[in-house]
Amino acid sequence: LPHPNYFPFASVGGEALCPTSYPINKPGGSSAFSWLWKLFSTQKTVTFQIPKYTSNPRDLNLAQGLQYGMVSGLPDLQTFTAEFTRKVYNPNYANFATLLHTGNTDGWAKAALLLCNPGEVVLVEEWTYPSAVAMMEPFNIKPIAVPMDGQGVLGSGLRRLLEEWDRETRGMSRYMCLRMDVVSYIIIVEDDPYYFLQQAAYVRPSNRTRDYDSVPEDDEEFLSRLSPSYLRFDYQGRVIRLDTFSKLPDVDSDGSHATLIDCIHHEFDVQLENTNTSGFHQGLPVYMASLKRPHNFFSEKQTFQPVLSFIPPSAGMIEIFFNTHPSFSSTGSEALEMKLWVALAEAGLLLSPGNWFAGEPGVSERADGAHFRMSFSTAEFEDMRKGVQIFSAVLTEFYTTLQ
Amino acid sequence: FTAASPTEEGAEISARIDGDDLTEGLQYGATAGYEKLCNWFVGLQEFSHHRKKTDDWAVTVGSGSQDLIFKAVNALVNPGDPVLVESPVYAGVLPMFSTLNCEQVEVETDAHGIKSSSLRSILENWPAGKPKPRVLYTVPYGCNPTGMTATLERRKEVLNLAREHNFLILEDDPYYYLYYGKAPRYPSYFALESEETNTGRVLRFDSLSKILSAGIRIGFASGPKPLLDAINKHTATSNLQVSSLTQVIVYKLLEAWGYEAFTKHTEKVSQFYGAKRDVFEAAMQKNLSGLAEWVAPEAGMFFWFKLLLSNDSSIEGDSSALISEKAVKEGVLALPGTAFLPNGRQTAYVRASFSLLGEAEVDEALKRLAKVVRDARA
Repeated sequence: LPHPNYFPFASVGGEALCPTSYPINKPGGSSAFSWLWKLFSTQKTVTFQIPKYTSNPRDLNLAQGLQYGMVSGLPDLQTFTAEFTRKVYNPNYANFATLLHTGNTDGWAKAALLLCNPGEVVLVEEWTYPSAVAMMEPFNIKPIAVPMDGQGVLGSGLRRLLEEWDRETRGMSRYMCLRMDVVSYIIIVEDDPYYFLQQAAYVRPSNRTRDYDSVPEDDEEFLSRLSPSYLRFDYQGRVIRLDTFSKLPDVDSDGSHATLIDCIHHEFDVQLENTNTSGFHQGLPVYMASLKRPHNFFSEKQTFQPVLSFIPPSAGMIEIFFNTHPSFSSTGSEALEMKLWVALAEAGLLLSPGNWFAGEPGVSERADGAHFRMSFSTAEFEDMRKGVQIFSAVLTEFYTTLQ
Repeated sequence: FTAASPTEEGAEISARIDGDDLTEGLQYGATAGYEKLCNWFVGLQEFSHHRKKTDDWAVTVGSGSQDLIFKAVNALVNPGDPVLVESPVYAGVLPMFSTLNCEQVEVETDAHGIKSSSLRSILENWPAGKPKPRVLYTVPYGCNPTGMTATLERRKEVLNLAREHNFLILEDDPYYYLYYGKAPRYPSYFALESEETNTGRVLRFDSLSKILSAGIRIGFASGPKPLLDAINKHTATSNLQVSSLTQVIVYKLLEAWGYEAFTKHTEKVSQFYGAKRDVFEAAMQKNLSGLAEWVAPEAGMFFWFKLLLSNDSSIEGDSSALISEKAVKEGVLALPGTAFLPNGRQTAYVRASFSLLGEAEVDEALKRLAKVVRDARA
C-alpha cells in the first residue's frame, strides 16, 4: 500500500441540504425553481468534515478513505445498504448479501459477465435500456425480447416464449428447454433506478382533489404502497437487484412529471388508458426523507384517439405510443419513426426514438407504430409547454403531408 | 478541502467547490473525463514527457489505471491470443489474460528491465503461420514485483522490436513519479516514440494512486485515439464515467498546484520511498547476507529477493511453501513470488513492500525471516 502521509489532502468537507428541507407536498403553482430559492434562503443545511486522521480509527478518516479499500466497498456504507435493503425491499430470505458498485449500468455489466458465457442469451423487456443491450454485444451475448405492456413484462408472453422455445433458430442452450421448470435456470437481474420515482396514476387538473399531492407521513405505510421489488418474492436466491443513487429526485424534477402530462393533455386532449399504478411517496427516516416527492396521479378510463395513445408511466420517464395511420404500415415503422424524429428535431424538439430501446433487433419493426421517449426531469414548465406544442404542430403536419 | 502545499513546508492550501463546478461535479459527465482535468493531464504529458499535444494522441480518465488496462486488454486481445508479458509481472493483470485463455508468453527480465535479447529471440523464432502477439505489457519504472527500472538502452531495443514485429506496448507506469535512482531519469516509452517519427505504438497508463490517493480511483491513459475510443465505448456500457465529483476535486487541487508544484510533490514522495529503500537495504545486508540474493530497486516500493533455501545452488526452492508453513509461524510474512509468474510455477523469490514499515519493524521482520531461511537450509 502507498503511504497515506503523502496523500496531500488534509481534510475534505461539504455542505448539504437537510433531507427535511424538501417539502413533502410541493406548493402548487410555483415553478420548479422558485421554491428552491426560497429554501436556500432559510439556510437549512448540514455541514460535515472528514479529517486525515482521527483518534478513533473507526471514525471516518481520509487516511482510510484515500487509501486502497475493499472490493465490496466501505464497511460503513455496506452496513447501511444492508439495513436499507432489509427495511425497504424486505428480501424473502435472511442471508442476502449487498455489494457496492459504480452505478447500475456497471452493476448489470458485471452481472451479465458473471452469469453468461459468449453465445448465451439474456431475456430482456421488449423495450429496454439500450446500454444494457449494447454492453452484451461485444461478448456475443444475445438479447431475446419478452412481450410487455403498460404494466411491464407479460407473464403470459414470457410463458409462451419459454414453452415454444425453438432450439434450432434461437441456438444454444442447456438453459432452455420445453418445460416450465426451465425457470429454475433463470436468474432475474432487477435494474431499478426509478424505484423511488414511483407515482400514482395521473389525473387531470380539473379532477384533482385537495389532497391530490399529499404524501402520508408514516414511513411504513409509504413503503407498503410502493410496488414491491422482486426480492420480496424471492425465496430461492435467484434475484440480483441493482440500486443506484443516480436518480434520487432533486428539486429540479419535483412535480415536472405531472406538468408534462398536463401539457400533453392540453395539447392533444389525449385520452388516457387505465393504469393500475400505485405508490404514494411517504417519508422514511433520515436519509429516506429526501425521497419524499409529490407525484400523485389518478387514472381514468377513456377511449383511444386515432393518432396518439399514451400511457402515463407510474415511475421515471415517459413513453408515448403512436397508433399510426393504416396507410403508413407499408413504409415500415422504424423508417417512419426516424422520419418523424428528424422532423421534430428540425422543429426544435429533441426526443429519443423508440427503436433505440428495442430489446432485440426487429422489435421496433414489428411494433404498431412509432415510439418516443420524453424525459422531463430537468425541464421547466414553459419549455415543456413549448415542446409539446412543437410536437403537436409537427405531428399534425406529418399526418397531413402523408395523406 | 484543504491540502498540503508542496512548495511551502507546513503550509496548506484550501479550495472550495460550489456553483457551476459543484453542479458539474454532481451531474453525469463526459465519458472520457471531466474536460478540465483531461486538459490538465494533456499538459502534464507535455511537461513531464515533452510530448506536445498533436492529433495523433489523446487522454481518457479511468477509475484507476487498472480500469483502463482492463478495458484496453478487452479491446485488443481476443480469447486464445498470445500476449507478451514481462516476467515476473504485476499480479493484477494476470486474471485479465487468463480469463481470455491467452497464451502468456513470458519475456525474461533482469536488473535493467526487459531482456531485449530474450524478446528478440522469442519473436524471431515464432512459429511460421502462427499469429504473432500484438501486445506487450510492461511496468518500466519500479516494476511490481521486481522493483527494477528499465534503462534507456533496453527501452530503445524494445521499441525497435515493437516496430519490427508490429506489436503495441502497454506501458503501465504507476511508479513513474516514484523514482529515486542516481542516474538521470529515463524517458518513458511514450516520450521515446515521439522522439522518432513513428508514433502510435505506445498506450501509456498513468496513475495518481501512489502520489495523490489510491482510494480516489483516478488514472488516465494516453495514446492513439482509436484505442482510447474503444476503451471509452466500453466505459459507456459499464461504469459510464469516472465519478464527476472526485474528478472536480482532483482538478481543483492540481490546478491550484500547477505542474511545477506537482513535480515538487512527487520529488518529495520519491525521496520518502528512497529513504525507505535505504532502511530496507541496510536491514537486508544486516540480516540476510548469504541467505538471499537481490538487487536494490531505484523506483517504487518493492524489494524482490531470492531466498537461498539450499546449499546446493542448482536447487530452486519454493518460497510459497516456506512462507505458509514456516514463516507465518515465526511471525513474518512476505509475498511468495509464484503469484507474479504468468504460468504460476514454483520459485524461491518473495516480494516485500517497504512503504509502511518503520526501521525497527523492518529489522525485526528480516531477522525472523533469516531464521526461517537458516532453518530451511539446515
